[in-house]
Amino acid sequence: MDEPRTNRASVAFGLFFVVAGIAFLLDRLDVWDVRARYLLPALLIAAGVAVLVGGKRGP
Amino acid sequence: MTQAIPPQQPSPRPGRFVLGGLLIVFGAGWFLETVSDVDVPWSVLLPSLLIIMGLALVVGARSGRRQPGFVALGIALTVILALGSGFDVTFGGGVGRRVEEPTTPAQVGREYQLGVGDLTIDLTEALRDAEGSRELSAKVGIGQLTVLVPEHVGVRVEGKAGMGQVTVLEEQRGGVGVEDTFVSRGYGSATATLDMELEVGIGQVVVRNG
Repeated sequence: MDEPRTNRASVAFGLFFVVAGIAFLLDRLDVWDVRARYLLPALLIAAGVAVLVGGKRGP
Repeated sequence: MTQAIPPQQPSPRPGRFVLGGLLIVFGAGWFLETVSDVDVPWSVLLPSLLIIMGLALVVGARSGRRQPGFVALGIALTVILALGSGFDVTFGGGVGRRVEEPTTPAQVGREYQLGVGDLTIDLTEALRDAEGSRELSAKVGIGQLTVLVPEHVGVRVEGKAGMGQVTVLEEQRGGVGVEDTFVSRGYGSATATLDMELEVGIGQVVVRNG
């Protein structure tokens, strides 16, 4: 029986949420200051990576 | 002899469990804040939930299923947190509509805080016959902050809005990153003065005569 293929989009979004969650947590704990001018471009880059990785076909 | 093949059990969906867990955590936190004086640490809880959601998505991805609802929830939470961090929104102090009505001048000088919702501080009774100077600070994460003061009290307001409006009596500023000082006419000669630091992350600050 074929193993179900890993859903790359879910992996990409999942990793994005983990990284974003850690960044926000550090911000709330005053370890790292997340500012809008850093955050918005970073979100765009991450969304682009998620789209690229999510759209890539497996072997 | 043929052997019966047992029907396949549907594999559990981690996304469904985590989504259910998130709804329970949110609901329980909201309920606790409503019925008691417990301050739920939303500022730490929300990013932690986002991390858990991300991990659940990665684990759930191995089944090959798409989880669009779960992804949408994660994006919504990310946007809320991004707005909060970018515009200094506080999530402490609870959620909902709250009206503070101190009755004596001594009760005025304290810090008020609300995470999401409408906070009204009505000082008309407390400062009705007051004299002298007082200070007050209040902060709302997302929503509206309204302060009502008696007409004879001179007000000086350090008003901040990450995104929104600050309206103090007849003066108004709006936009992104609003930060200004407002001084009422007759502040210098008033027998009673009130210096306030009022801040809203996203929303409105309103000071008017009550």
